[in-house]
Order: sequence, then C-alpha cells, then structure tokens
Amino acid sequence: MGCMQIMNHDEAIRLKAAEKYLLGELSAELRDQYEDHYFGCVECAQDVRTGAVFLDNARDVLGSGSVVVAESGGKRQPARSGGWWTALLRPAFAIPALALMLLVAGYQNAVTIPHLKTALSQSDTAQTLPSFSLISENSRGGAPLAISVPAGKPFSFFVDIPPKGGYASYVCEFQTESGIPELSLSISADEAKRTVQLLIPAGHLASGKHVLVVRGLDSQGKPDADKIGVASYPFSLDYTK
Amino acid sequence: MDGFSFPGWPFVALDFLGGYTFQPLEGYVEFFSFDDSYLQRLRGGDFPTEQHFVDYFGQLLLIKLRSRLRSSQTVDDIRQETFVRVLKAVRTGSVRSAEGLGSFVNSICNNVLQEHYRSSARSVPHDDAPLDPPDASIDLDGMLVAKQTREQVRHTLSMLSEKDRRLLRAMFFEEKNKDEICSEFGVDRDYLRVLLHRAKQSFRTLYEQAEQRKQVSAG
Repeated sequence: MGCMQIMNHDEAIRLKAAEKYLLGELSAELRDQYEDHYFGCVECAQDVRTGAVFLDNARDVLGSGSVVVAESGGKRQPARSGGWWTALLRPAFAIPALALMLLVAGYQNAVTIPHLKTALSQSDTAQTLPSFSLISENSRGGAPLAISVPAGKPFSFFVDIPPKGGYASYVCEFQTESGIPELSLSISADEAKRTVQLLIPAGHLASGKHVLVVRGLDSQGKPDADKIGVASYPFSLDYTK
Repeated sequence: MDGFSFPGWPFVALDFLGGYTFQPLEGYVEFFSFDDSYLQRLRGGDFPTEQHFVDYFGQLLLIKLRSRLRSSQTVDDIRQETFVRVLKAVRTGSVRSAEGLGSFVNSICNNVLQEHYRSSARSVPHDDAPLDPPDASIDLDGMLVAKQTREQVRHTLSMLSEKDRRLLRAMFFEEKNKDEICSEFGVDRDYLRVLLHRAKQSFRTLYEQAEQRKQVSAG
C-alpha cells in the first residue's frame, strides 16, 4: 500500500466522506484513507454504519413498494392531439372509469353510509368510555400497562405530567415501540397542573406495544434538549370484538 | 484460513438480495472506549470485551469487504482470518497502543485481502462465482429488531418528497447509473449526497431515540 496519507476527522467531515463512501464516489486512494480513519474514529464509524443500515433497509422497503412511490422512470407520454377531454371519452379509459364509479357507489351504499349512520347515532346517545390510568405507571420499572378495549370505540388515558423543568407547554406523543410517531397533542402548562385525560379516537392506534412520550416545550414551542422527554409510559393495547 | 470461530459470533447473514443485508446494530450506541484498559481486557481474553470487539469491528469489516467482494463466503473467511490475526497479535503483546487498534484491524484486513487477491489470481477467481443462496438460519430476536429498523427506515422514507423517494429508488433499488439519474431528475451529484445525508441523519435520530428509550426502560 506504500506510504498512505492520513485523513483526519475534520478532513473526513469536510469531504463528506461518509456519504461519498457509501455512494462509492471516493477514489481508491481516498477510500483507503477514509477506511483507515473510520476504523479508528468512533463517530465516523457510527456514521458509516448508520448509513449502511439505512441503505440496506431502504433498498428492501423501496423495492417492496411499501412506501408510496410513484411510477419509476419519469418519462412523460407525448401529448395527444385533440385536447385532454377527448382522452376521457376513449373506451380504454371510459369503460374502466365507469366500472370504478359503480364500484365506489356500491361501496358507499354497502359500507360507508351505514357506518356513518351508526357513528351519527352513537354521537347522539350516552355511552361508556373505557378509560385507563397511567398515573401510577412509571417509565423505570414494573411491567407496562396492558389494556384491552372494544374494537371501533374510542378510549382514554389519565396522565399526570411530572412537575419538572418549568416548561411553557408540553406535547404528548403516542409512538410505536420503535419510535414512529402515531398521535400527538399539545397540553398547556396550566392544563398540566392537573390530571389530564387524553382521548384516543377509534382506530387510531393499532393493537400492539406503544409508548406515550411527554416532552416539554420552551416559550418558543421548541422541544427540550432531552430527547427522551419528561416522562414515557409504555403500554400494550389489544382490541376485543 | 484455520477455521477459528468466536463464541457469540453476532452476525446472521440474511441474504435477501444476493448480497449481505445488515442486521440492526444491536447496542450500537453502547459506548466502549478504546483505551489501555480495553486493550488489557482484550489481551486477557475477557469475554464481554472480546464480544464487543468482534461485534464492533465485524460490522465495519463487513461494510468494507462487501464493497469489494461479491461472495459472502469469501467475506466471512476474510473477516474471520482478520480477527484471528488481530487477536493473536493482541495476545502476544504486538499491539501496544489502544489508540491505533482500529487502524491495526484495518491494515490486517488489507493484508488478508491482498493475499486473497493473489491466491485468486492463481486459481479460479472466487468472486466470479454465483451469488450465495440465502442463509437458512433464522434468528427470531434479530428478526424482531430488523422489523423495527425497517419500520424506522420506512418512516424516514415517508418523510421525503416523492421525487426524493423515486431518486433513492432509482439509485439503490434499480441501481441505475448515477449520471443518468442526475440528468433524468435534473439534479447534480451534490444533491444525491445531501439527500443521503439528510435521510441518514433522520434515521439515525429515530434509531438513537428508540435505543435510548430501550435503555431507560431496561433500568
């Protein structure tokens, strides 16, 4: 390998070496220098590993089409003569469109409208609201709360916001076990002085494990520096028929 | 290669797309400092230190080697041989400075790689062999963590614009030529790097937050 130059951390950052390395854009000489650097630099090593994990998984996720991805290629069809509306009348478009309209109308009659009627009648009648308390739950010990609620019904949690930090307001965020945000709502400092009831609309949380994370916000609405938040309450949710 | 194997070898080669797919970085925010005490523990054969060493450098070696080699078997062999030589050197006291440990691992790997290239040139080139079949072993624990990581990646991707997602797809799934992608999407190479940087950073934040929460709830 001869006498190889040494790349230091500042140079690696300046060169954006991690991205270029992952994209295969470094020359053989720079690639060797960067490898020699990141094997001995914890920060750069972490950068390269995060990037590699992201790319590997992104390849799978993008390939499986489970993220909404428009058709690839990006080549436009040449413009047709006769205006856009003539295309709408062509049998190739009009027949499937008619079939789709019939399908939508059928679905509305069979599913959507009865569902709306039920929802409307429910809103007019008194009903019970399953409620659970996270007040005694602690993020640092004990088994997480396991709750079971009827499918298709809203439910609620009672939570106490820990009185620390002197924040201007708070955000309560429901997340999946792996940290993906699902629902969030703001709580004022005044509201946080009392026990807060959080209403979860029907069908907004999937069954499984979740975490309610409470974060403090400063007067500009910026989150606190502590990424974990002022409190976190793990719980598991199950739906009954 | 003398077939030395380490206890608790942390890798499970799930070969989804013909190449290696990384298992999530279990404990990757766990902090070990590479100081004299670390080197001493490694020299004394301390099991957790050895495990951390193999886990930490094993992933870096995997990243390095798979950019050069196609056969996962060859990657494994070179990685194993690198560890054998490095640990032998550590135990015999040839490695004196903890600070240079990473660089030492890298240079040993370079030597093993050079030897592999030389022996391949003399015999049938291994890397022209067809890609390996998927590994049949299933690690449920690893799969669960892999599922969470994938969910975090999916979320990161969903935060990007449609154009950026299409761009990443063209680059990493369809493996199109980068110049072609740039002209098709009307962007330059810098845009690709910045896009990757942004996506990587949001994924990293999400991943580290989840790791911190796990550590907090573990007590």
